[in-house]
Amino acid sequence: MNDFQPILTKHVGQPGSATLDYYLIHEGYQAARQAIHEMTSDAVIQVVKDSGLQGRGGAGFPTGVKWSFIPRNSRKPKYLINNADESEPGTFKDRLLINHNPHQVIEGMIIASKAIDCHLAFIYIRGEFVKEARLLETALEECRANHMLGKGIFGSNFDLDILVHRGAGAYICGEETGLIESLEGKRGWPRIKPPFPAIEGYLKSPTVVNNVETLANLPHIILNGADWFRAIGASHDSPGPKLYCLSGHVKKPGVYEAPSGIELTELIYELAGGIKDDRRLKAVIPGGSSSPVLTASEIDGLKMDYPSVKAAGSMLGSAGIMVLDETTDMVQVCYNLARFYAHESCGQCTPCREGTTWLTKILRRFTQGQGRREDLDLILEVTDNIGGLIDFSLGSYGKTICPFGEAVAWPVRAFVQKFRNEFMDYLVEDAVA
Amino acid sequence: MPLLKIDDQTFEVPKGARVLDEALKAGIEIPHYCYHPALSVVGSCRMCAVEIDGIPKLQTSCSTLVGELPPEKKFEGQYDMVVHTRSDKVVAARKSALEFLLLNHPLDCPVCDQAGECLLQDYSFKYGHAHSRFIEEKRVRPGEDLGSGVVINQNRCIMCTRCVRFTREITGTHELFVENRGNDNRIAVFDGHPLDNPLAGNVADICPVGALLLKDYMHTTRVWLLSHTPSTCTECTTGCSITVDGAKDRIYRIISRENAQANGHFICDYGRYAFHQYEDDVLTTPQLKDGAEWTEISWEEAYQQVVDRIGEYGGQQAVRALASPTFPNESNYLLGQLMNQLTDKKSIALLPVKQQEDQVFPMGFRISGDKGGNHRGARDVIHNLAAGTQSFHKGDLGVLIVLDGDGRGEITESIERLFAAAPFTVVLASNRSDITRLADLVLPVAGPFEREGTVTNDQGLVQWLQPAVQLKGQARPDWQVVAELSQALIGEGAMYTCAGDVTWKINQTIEAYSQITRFKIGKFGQFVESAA
Amino acid sequence: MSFAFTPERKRLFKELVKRYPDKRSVTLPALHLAQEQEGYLGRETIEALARMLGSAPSTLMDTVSFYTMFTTRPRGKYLLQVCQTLACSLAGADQVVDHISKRHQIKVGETTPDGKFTLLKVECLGSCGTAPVVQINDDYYERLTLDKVDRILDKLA
Ligand SMILES: Cc1cc2nc3c(=O)[nH]c(=O)nc-3n(C[C@H](O)[C@H](O)[C@H](O)COP(=O)(O)O)c2cc1C
Ligand code: SF4
Ligand code: FES
Repeated sequence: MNDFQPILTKHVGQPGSATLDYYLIHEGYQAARQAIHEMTSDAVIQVVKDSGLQGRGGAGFPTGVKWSFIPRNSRKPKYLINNADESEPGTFKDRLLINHNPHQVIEGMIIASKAIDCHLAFIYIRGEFVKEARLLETALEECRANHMLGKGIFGSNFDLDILVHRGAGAYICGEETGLIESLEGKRGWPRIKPPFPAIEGYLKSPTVVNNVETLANLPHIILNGADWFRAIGASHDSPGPKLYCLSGHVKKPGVYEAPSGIELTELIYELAGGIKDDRRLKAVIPGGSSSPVLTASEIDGLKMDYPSVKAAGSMLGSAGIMVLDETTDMVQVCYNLARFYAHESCGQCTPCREGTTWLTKILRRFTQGQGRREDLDLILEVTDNIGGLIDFSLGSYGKTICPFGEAVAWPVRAFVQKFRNEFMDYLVEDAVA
Repeated sequence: MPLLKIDDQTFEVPKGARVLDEALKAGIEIPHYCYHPALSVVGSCRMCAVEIDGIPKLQTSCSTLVGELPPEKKFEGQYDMVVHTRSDKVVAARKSALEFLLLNHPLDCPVCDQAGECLLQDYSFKYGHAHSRFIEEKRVRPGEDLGSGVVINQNRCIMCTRCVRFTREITGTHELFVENRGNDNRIAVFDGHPLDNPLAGNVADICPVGALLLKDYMHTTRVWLLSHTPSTCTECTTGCSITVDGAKDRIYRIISRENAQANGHFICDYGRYAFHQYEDDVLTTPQLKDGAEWTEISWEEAYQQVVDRIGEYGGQQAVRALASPTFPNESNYLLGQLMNQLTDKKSIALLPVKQQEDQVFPMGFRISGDKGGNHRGARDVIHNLAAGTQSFHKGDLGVLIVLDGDGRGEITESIERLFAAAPFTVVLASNRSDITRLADLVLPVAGPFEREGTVTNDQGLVQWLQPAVQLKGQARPDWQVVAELSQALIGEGAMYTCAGDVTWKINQTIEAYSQITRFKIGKFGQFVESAA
Repeated sequence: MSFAFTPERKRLFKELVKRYPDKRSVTLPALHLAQEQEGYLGRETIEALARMLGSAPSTLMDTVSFYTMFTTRPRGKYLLQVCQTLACSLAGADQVVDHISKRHQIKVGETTPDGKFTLLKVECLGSCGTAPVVQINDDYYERLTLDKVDRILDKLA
């Protein structure tokens, strides 16, 4: 681990790192050139499959496999969408990649477009990232001016353009079908699946949605090969460099690049400098607000890759690690997140629309010292009714159209189960006694 | 064909069949709100969840289609899909979906118009919790007028979005939309663009709870006090199947009756509210014009008048008649038969009715511009029908017998000329109309919702008219009055004892109707033999 | 109060229509363009945009009302959006809100009488590593302290 050199964030902080000139001096667009000129679509898909790259947007789905679902002989246009909606609380890595090295992301998009035979791709970026959207526009203009986008890119007969599409404030538009609806100009109500986007996505055409970080990995895989990528990190099944976002009670919050499978304690205590004010750790939310919280004792020896975190009863998700020290009021944290989800629920499905608000109302009552003993079981039942029982061995048990339901149910459930005594402190009878 | 198993029943179904449809067809109840067969599938209410073998997560049966599995993958060696609608997991999911829907729903069933036909009420009773576990403050929102006689009670809305999809997909008028997000979602109209289309009333019919209400019907009665009469709308030649909800002497509302052969799922607002047109100026006794005054007379006197006047004005050869494009086949047929026996000339024509443009909606619903709802039937069942009334003026013009056009009869120039020329005019009508005003003798007959018999729409579909309310005063069934006239004039007619007798006679004598029987018409109608 | 794009924005809009594979997909970009120009999306603006996009005003409003960044009412010259989600909350977002609220004598959701500042609490701005954060119009101000808030607002005042 000590000999690990950053790959995706290598140029972060270098003057001019966002410009095309800078990028070109540093091997920029060689991988894209290679993919366009020397590789077939199948070859690109194969090397990415072999690399074991898993989507970095949250679900960890193998990228090459996702691409292979795109119907080859469909006469419809195929679309690639770069998911830069980055709205999961605790997550702020894609913004860094865009700000410091937009061309790396664009190059990744060119490679992915080659893989799925896409000629018009989109970057769906959350609306609040105004500066980042402008930066991407500038980078795209640079590419167009240099025949790296547009008609016959890099002198080939492959056409590709990329459009920056700004969201307008809706977490659910990070969910891929909500995103597609939003791109189509509608409210971001996720679609029922099947059909999956690979068959019927944007404008009913085959569509791949990939996260910014996922795409940023591609140039490196093309240049260095699948084996090189597989060798990075602790787990052969979940390899590669990974961006970890550390926030909350750490001394040095920020984005850290480390090999997949790095121990969580190493991230917290070494890279992020340990707990703020040297207090004791109480809990960690390991993969963005949608991942169930882990107690201090549960994180011992925990490796930060998709399978390991899952085995620990949570998920790596977007690798948004929120560190909570001993002074943290878990009831307030739980309420804060429940309120976030109630605000962001798209309101389409009954359990999510009604359940998130119900939970929030109950939890608000707790924060006001008005909890009732029976509310604790009620909260658990309501979370079950929104997100289904958590059984990682069986996969998703959710009761809603999209995984948002689980994303609120599971964390709330974990807070109440693991910190029940803190909730007891807010019971109304205790306050009276 | 895939083999589908639902609970303990097995069905062969076409590939792509919808689990919910198949279950409902087989009489297996799966509660559902957002699904409507005429609208796109959104799968959002989550009420129709079922358990399917091999899939850990419950699936919404409205969005699940049956495919075909390769032989080695079939369940229990034969099924392509095995569905459970009553398992513990399913029961629990329904219960919880209902609990969620009822959190903010007022407990105002005692004053709600939907009570008695509310899917929220029905399902809670069958599947729900007995007590609410929700002690938080309810979301309370004011009601609103959406336009076109539709109001919304926002507190009762469960966000199934059927109404929004209706105005997008069926009418293409897009008035309704979902405003805001999450728990703030609500059904709205854009400022200055109210609900405004001739199918608007359907949104109240398709609302599964009492959120969308028709002002016209609101707070007028309770649904369990009503009788529901399946009948047919005769306001235009589309001939929609309807259910007339009324009590003995009054109609409270008309709703659509699903009929794939006729209107599909919906009806138009003209038809929906048409019954109000027949509430005023109802004719209850035969009346004879005496100068400017009308005198009530008895039926015997009335028939005697007709006999006497015919004698007075040129005899039977001089009698002429106008059949009605809005009256049923039976009275039109009998009038045709009578005229053909009275004279050897072409002596019967059709009363013209007002014509408008057809209105066709995106999903194909059509409001016909021909407001003579039984235009086709009247033509089909009358022998020797004259194309117009010009020939009536040749030679003697005696007594004129007219079936009214239910307020839509048009007084064209030639009609005016005809009435002016005829020395004595008898009109059979249910309500005073422009036509009755020109009459010398008015005979009160059944109105559109009191009639019995058949009508034929412009596609040749013959449907049954079922009386929904009692005849007023001394009014008699239309077919009966024509039969009694025939009896008085030519001694024929007494053999008909009910409308069905005339229907049978039509079956026996009109070639195209040789397959039409009351039995075959059933609830959904029977097509006439096409001439081709 | 009818709405029309300025010539420059009109050109941009037309350019977008050409670039996207269908017109309705230009909805969000068009709404952004219009809101930047007008400050908010009023009734006439929505009606005019709906015509340009070939859709119904109600359908467009359906979209507009879903997204928190779109507003149908005018807001202050500076929109102060303080993130209130977990990381910012742990880092003292509430104090930032209270501070601004006192400083300008406005409650959350209100605008100062001179029309200069509107204060909002918003959900996660995607900047948890530099909490607490306020977004003022297009810009993020991160790692806030109350002093820093004062300095920023002094400059805008
Ligand atoms: C509620 C919700 C929010 C999401 N937000 C994001 C997001 O902000 N960014 C992202 O890349 N993926 C997000 N996802 C995951 C996407 O649906 C999708 O899986 C991902 O973009 C696929 O890219 P990947 O395969 O490269 O990971 C979200 C999913 C859900 C259910
Ligand atoms: S789970 Fe929630 S966010 Fe997802 S579609 Fe349903 S209501 Fe919308
Ligand atoms: S009827 Fe299937 S989800 Fe509503």
